[in-house]
Amino acid sequence: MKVLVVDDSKVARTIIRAVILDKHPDWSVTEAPNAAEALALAAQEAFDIFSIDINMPGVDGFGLVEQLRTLGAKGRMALFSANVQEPVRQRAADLGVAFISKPVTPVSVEALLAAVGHDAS
Amino acid sequence: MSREWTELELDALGETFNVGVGAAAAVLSRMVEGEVLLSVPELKVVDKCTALGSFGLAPTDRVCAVLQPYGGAIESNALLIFTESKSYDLVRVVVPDHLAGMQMGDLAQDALLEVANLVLNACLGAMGDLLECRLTTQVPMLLKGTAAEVMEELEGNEMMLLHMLFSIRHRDIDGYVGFLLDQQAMAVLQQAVARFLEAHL
Repeated sequence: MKVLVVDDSKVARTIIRAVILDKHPDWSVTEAPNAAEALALAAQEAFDIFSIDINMPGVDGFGLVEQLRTLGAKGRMALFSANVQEPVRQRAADLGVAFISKPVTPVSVEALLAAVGHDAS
Repeated sequence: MSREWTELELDALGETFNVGVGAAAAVLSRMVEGEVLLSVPELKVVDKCTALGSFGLAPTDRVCAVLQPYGGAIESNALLIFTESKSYDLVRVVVPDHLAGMQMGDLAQDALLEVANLVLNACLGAMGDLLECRLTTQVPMLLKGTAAEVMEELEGNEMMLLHMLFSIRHRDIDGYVGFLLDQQAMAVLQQAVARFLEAHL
């Protein structure tokens, strides 16, 4: 399974990667600090799972979901954000992507994996 | 005195602030029945004059600010600041219709304090939980006047400013939420962030 973690926080990316690899040592986890790099990576290889932050400099997480789809990305996507307002959750639902609340912890990363159809166990 | 912050510590602090302001925005969003748009947080060490510029304010702008002192593991101030006219607009959005015509009298001031109290408490609560340090809030104060006068009320000259612009979608209301930290508070916060990194990375 190939995962792309998009978040402008290196700390968030590092924790997400560590929790995923702890549960699934055979998966590969790639990191991108912004939407532009995520799009460049997604253009080169197919990812199965995308974990996407919302509030990022440049294109935000919602914009990135739309651009990834335009690019033809087929992976399951989840928005992983501290912006936990109901209208934001609704926009995620309208886009058909899962929404997981930060902070990034082993529990929230496991919730993210479950939301995209992968048990943490 | 605090030592230099490492890139990872600043990153973790920004992320912690994100979680805090995210929780605060959820509270505000329910009050205004709309989405609160958040900027990417900024963190810098500034003097008071530069702090005003960071808030997009000129020294002569009329502002309303709610200063929320907090204590416990870290003692400092959280601040919610608006231009005076936008603070009226915010109050009009959150109070019942029959009060909407009121000016910034006692009742409106009370409403603004209540909004700020809820928002800043949500923010501080989330940050304290994440960093595992207990933060207790004290009674908030409403400061009114020019931006320069309001900044004069704050202790110290140089401060660490951790701030974020928020605005309410489809309404011309925006303001800043910020934390002003003196050297001692910065040092304690830095230790908490270092402990967080040690535990999670």
